[in-house]
Amino acid sequence: MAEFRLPINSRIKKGKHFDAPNDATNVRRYVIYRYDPDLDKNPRMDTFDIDMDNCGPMVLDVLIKIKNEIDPTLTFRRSCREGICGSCSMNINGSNTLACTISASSIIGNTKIYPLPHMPVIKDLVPDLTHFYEQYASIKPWLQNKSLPPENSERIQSKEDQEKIDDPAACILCACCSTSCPSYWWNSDRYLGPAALLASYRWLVDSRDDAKNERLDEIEDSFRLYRCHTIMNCTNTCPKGLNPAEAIANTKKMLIERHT
Amino acid sequence: MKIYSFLSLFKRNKLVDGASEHWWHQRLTAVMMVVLSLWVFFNISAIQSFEYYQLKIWASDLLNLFMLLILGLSMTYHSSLGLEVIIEDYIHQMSARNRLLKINKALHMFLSLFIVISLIWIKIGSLK
Repeated sequence: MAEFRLPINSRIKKGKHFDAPNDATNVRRYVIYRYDPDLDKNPRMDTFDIDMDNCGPMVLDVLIKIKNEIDPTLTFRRSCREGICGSCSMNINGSNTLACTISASSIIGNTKIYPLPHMPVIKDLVPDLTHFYEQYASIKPWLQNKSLPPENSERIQSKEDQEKIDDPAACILCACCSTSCPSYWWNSDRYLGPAALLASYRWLVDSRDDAKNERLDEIEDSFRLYRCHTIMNCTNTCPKGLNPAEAIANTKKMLIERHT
Repeated sequence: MKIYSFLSLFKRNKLVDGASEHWWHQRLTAVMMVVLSLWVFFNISAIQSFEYYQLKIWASDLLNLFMLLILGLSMTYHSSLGLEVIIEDYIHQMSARNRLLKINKALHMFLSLFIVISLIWIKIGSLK
């Protein structure tokens, strides 16, 4: 049966409180999920009061400030700081998003930060994305074309054909969509999830790829594709403004069209 | 965008198989239920009084009987497909899942049979 309560050793406890400096006037409170598998302790929520006059504008800047100046054990992924790499994806005030693209001042009240939901946690805000990347690899995200490209030239695409892949190719694999999908929460062992299916769609509509039928065969499965129940959380949460739900719906239409 | 009409089901060279068939049938029965429910609603609304015998006469008309039969069967089929998805979503223990899937199928087959017999009963009753 589905489990509706966390196991006893996963239930979150109240953690430490770190006050802001006494002379701070512009203080914001950040409540952050902490978990260290090396310590035999339950996860906890630590509270940090941050002086925003001495901090960068984004939530990622706050996390970097905490790590540099308050608690160096805080662990999170980050790299580009401009919404391109997808490393700093996390759950901020209930929404999966990129910490580097969310302005701290856009959040009203306290900010609660958790790792991406329903993923095994390696430490603090770092989820284990191994399975997510395996699923991405399973859709064979590369060009499959048996013919050789024209000599001294690349495979040419029309502007219209290029536009078909513009959006799905813009996915940065941050996993915000997949980890916001309830269907993926319950069946991530078999359901590919919105990110992998969006990537699959990117190759299905690529005019240069000639493995469309093989790709459709691979995903035509009641779990791999059809666990998508059009909940639309993926589209709602995508920090790049992409529409995985539409890509999945189009893939389903392709499958039906193939049989008509 | 291509619209998949009810008629396109009959135009196919072969039926959609497996997982796609399940998805397609769910959509098809959903559309059928909307159309047939509206049809039944407006037809019943046209009856002057809602007395038992009046309704029995309405239901025993061959066209009405056929439409009720299609509506009843699409409802049970749609319900069976929907419950199948719910069971697959939430029951992760394989033996329990398979058992529930079989029970679901059996219950809906019984329900379909019950609908067919009930409608035949109405028709036979009206002939007396």
